[in-house]
Amino acid sequence: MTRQSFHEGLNQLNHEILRMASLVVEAVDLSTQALLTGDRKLANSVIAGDDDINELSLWIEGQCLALQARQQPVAKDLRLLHVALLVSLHLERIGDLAVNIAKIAKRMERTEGAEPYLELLKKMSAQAMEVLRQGIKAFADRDAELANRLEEIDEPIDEMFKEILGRLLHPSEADKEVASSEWATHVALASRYIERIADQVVDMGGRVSFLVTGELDGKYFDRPLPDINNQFGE
Amino acid sequence: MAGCITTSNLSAFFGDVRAIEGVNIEIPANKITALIGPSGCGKSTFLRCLNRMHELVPGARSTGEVVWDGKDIYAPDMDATEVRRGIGMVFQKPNPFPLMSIADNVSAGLRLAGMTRNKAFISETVERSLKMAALWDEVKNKLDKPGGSLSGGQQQRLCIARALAVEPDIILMDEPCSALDPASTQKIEDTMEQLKQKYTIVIVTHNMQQAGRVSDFTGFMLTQETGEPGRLVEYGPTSKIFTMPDRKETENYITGRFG
Repeated sequence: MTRQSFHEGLNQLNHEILRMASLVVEAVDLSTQALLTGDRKLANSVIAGDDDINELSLWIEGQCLALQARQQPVAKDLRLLHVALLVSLHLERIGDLAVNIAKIAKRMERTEGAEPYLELLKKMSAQAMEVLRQGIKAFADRDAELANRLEEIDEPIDEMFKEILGRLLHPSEADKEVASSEWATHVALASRYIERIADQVVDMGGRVSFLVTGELDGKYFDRPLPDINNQFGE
Repeated sequence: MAGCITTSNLSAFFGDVRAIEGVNIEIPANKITALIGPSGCGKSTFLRCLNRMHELVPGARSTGEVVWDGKDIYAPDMDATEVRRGIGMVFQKPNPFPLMSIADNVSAGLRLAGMTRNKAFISETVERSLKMAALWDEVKNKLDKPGGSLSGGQQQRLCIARALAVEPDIILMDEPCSALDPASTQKIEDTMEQLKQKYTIVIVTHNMQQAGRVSDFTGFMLTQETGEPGRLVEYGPTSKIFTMPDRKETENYITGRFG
């Protein structure tokens, strides 16, 4: 009763998720490079490349549906199909954020006094790439421990994001002109996009953890419906 | 609540051959418990030990304990017929008495058990049992027609009604749907869902999807090596077994990596 074609389908699904992940890594890498160097050609290649990522995401979604409809997956196969769908959604979002960064890279003119900000964006980008690579490694290796550590690797990014926003909102005398320019808006948005990329990876890590342990947020998934008071009323 | 069964170190033999070994399980009342596992792992033998039907096979015997609501069903003072009345069974192949009327099929157990107080009681019981087995609407106008005139799915529900008529606590089902088409299978599954309000159900099934659909708890049985007895490998909530089983053997079996 071994189910060869089903298991081949699962292997192919896993393979295509990893292929999508490598495209997304490249997109983030190139978009942040374009942001830091102002290379419009590079930025355009990221924008054009997003179609491939979206196509793969749709293929993965279709494959998850087809295998669930036809093969009645259970146990680790069921968890993989559930997680594949969510991981591909996270990856697709990250691809979109890379496109957003590439668009900013095309618009952002160099300006006086930008250096400290560019330095922070560079550090943020490098850290975001680290989170992304580790997140994908956690999925590829089914490493729940690494997946749960992503939040920790993400922390410096949140700190740098706060620092950039703080400096733009409350600029020193020397920064006043930069902070009030259109350029400042681009920097704020770019840093936000980078921060969102890392957050998507952290959430993806939660899915990887479920894939390995069968637990959602540290608890068995089949939890009771929470009794939620309307905290927003009155 | 009435209707729980606990086995301790239950083993069953056919002559010298040990078919199952050391089964410890607590089957809760008013739940559906499914037993799955490859052919020959001893699921049916285990089921038949739960109402002393195993011993009806010449040379067959069992050791260990089966406790039904605090009573050891193998105790010397325990009447096997009483056990089988309280713990009914439905088999793989629908086995109504083919020439006997539908109504008489349902009340056959009552008459055998000497529970024939009066006509009104019998006709009430027939109606109630057929309703619980979700067959009443289909047969209420032809209760005097022979049981053999019904379709396979209806015959199986007739057998369920017959088992219910003697008011058991527990219903054992051995592959109740494997001879039925999908629509009849769906009816039986719906019926089981209704029945568990009142009864405890233990079902043996080859169909893992069915176990996933209908049961609250699932036990996985396995014969590790050819010629060895079957053992209970894992037992737990069905949603757990089908998403995150603890044992590698369970996972390999339910995901189709062996079996």
